[in-house]
Amino acid sequence: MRLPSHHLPGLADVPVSGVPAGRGPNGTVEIEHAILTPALLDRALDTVLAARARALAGTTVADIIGRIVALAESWNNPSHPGRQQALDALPAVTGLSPAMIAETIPSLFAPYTADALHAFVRSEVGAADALDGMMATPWGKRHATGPELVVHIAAGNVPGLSLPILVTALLVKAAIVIKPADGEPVLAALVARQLAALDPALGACVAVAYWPGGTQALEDAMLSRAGIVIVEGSDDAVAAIRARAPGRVLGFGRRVSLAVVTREATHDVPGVAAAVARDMSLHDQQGCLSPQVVYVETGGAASPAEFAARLGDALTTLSRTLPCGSRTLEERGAARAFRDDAEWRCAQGHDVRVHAAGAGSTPLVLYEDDPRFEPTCLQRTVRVKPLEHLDELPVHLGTWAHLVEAIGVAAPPRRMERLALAWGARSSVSRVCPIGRMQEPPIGWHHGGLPRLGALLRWTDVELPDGKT
Amino acid sequence: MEHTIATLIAEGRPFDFDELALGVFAYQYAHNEPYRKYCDRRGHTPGTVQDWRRIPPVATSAFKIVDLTCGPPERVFLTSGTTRGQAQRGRHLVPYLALYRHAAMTHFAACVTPDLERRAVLALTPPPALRPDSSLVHMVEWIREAHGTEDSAYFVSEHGLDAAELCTRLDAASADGEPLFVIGITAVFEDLFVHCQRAGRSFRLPYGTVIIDTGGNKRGPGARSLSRPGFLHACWRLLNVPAYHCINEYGMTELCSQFYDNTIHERRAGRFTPRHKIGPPWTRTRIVDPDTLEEVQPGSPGLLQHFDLANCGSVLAVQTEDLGVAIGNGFEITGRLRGAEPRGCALLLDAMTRNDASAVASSTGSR
Repeated sequence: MRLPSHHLPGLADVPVSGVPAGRGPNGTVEIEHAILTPALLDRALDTVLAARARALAGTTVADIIGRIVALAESWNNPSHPGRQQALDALPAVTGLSPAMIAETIPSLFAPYTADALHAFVRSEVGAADALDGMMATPWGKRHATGPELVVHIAAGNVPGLSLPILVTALLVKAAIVIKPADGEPVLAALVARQLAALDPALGACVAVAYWPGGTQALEDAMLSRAGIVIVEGSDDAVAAIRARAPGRVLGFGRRVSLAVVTREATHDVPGVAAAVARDMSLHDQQGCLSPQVVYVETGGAASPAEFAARLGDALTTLSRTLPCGSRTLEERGAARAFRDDAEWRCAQGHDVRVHAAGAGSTPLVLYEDDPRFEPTCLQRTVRVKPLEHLDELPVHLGTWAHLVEAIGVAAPPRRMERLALAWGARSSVSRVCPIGRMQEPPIGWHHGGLPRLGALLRWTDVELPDGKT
Repeated sequence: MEHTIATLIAEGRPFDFDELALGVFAYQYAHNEPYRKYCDRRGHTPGTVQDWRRIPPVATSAFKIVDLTCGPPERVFLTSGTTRGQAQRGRHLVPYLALYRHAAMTHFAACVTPDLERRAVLALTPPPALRPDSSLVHMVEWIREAHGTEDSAYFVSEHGLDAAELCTRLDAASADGEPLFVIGITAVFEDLFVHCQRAGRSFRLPYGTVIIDTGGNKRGPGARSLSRPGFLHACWRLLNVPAYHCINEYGMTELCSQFYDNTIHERRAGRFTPRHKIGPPWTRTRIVDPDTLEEVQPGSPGLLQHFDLANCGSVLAVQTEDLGVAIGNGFEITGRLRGAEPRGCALLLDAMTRNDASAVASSTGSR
């Protein structure tokens, strides 16, 4: 099958080149990349901006939500052609296993219900009125304006990371250009094309185009017209875009996540271990929400070392139904080096235990008594560490404290709240959630600590002459 | 044990690698306690291992965890690095320094010196007094002692490369026609090339001059460096040294033997084979799959494992984090593990020239 990595309104006859992506469950997959010039890209940007003026600028948030929900509902239908194409192509494209893709892709649009989207807008701007016209405030009225054009530069191979950004851009009535990542260049174009088929006016507000990173002329053409650039990637890549973009840049560099098992949760070790195994295994631990270290509170019904052993079992069990995808030589070598290092410390009598499925290096659980946070080599590799005082977690994070994204917690709700306050005060954590749900962030999650929708807006406050609304 | 190895290196006669390697393994199992514990854990002991390929290799990271030696060390060489957030340098404790020197100089002579004439050694490394714990610097000093004339000199100080002084020497050599050994860190050569280009200078070093560079293109994250063809082109264009007289060395603190490009060796033998690294007869290199640790198909890339009899005082089998492919009777390096810390002598330079304690702490290197 051949799948385009682009959706370029106004460029019906853009030249393309095919690149083989490997074999999927239903045959070989080839990706068709648009061969772009800055002039062609400019034309596409003119087209999406004109479409935005027609379709989005004058409409209401409620109308946009209705149209997003229609797209979501069409995707939720198992016979949806785009969804089927994604299931066929993404294993070859991302290297994730077909079972993994089948586990995550069908529920891609699950968060986008009408209720959730209305609640999202209310929670971030107070009321949709603020985006449609004027919203009353104690001092008068206010209006929120989104940018005309949002640019999203994606990274990694976790499918669907552009989706919340696409939805948010449309909600603030912005056109959007997505540059998908090397590791997953097809899903954004697939979604954009489905949107265009279902709702041509809205679909014309979205452009998707892939080119190899560092193609400066194209990037500059795109960046020069962006109201806001949202860029994910390595810290270096984010800094490079920040230095070149004339407009606002929201950068998301390297982040790490972890999990915490409280004393109260250790009475159900198998259940907790299965949930952590799921959080770790989804997307083969490649996401910024994938836990790399599990802290287990001491003094519970099961010891941290026992938990580590059960987590090893749970990972092995899960890898039968959700097998690991293909790994590069470099990744496999890094996993070998990680395991060798652990085996050496173990052999020399350090308090280190290795729980692995077999002679290979993943999945692997490394129990170690040193509470300092250290990331792993990913690929379903995790460190389990005992911790006596959970409030003190940020101390053990060291310099990583400012790179933490999410903490999955197995705890009673009241305790979870108290811990979240303690951790939030001394780390960058943007999300504290129950374990087992780490990979399902709600649309209202403050990624990187920023309001998703609010970060795109500029406010105009109006104080009326009579001083009242 | 070290006498046996020293004798076979000196005599240069054929020997049974398998038998000697198993002998060295048994010796190390008996005298190197941390290694014995590791072998016991793996279940591979002299009683069960029948083939040198099954001798348990020691990961380079283990040199940061524990001291691996069969006796009191005569010297301790340090890698210049930190390990994944824990400030710790790898330590190679060398109980038989004479054997180390003997092994290093014998293979250097086989691969590099076209004749036995002494020449000026221009060292693009710090002198031993500045970096007494660097195995690379130590080796350069041995080369100076064994092959250098009295006017040999070091050109890197705590302030970095003294390009002006080096250029004066290169000018003099261009005029007097005496070939040189120019040996040093790849990144320092690159600094020299940048200096030449900025100053619009080039040199016509006499034919027979040999350039030996080491450390690869690894100056650390974010730095730009030349490709190998780019490096060779610069040696020709700026120094007048043809590619076959440019030898890249691959070595590591954890090994007493080194690997060199085969170009001089092959030309001397009247053969023209593709450029690749060759080791001395007392080493073997396996290229293995990271999961199975079995050898990959010939021509496929894998992780390098070295077996070095000259390491008889520490551990002879070393598992690296380097990637390579087998070529001819040797191999070529194709990369380093992602996530593995950058290693290489270039960082030795960075740490020295940045007058800053944090730079030293954050720099890493195999030497």
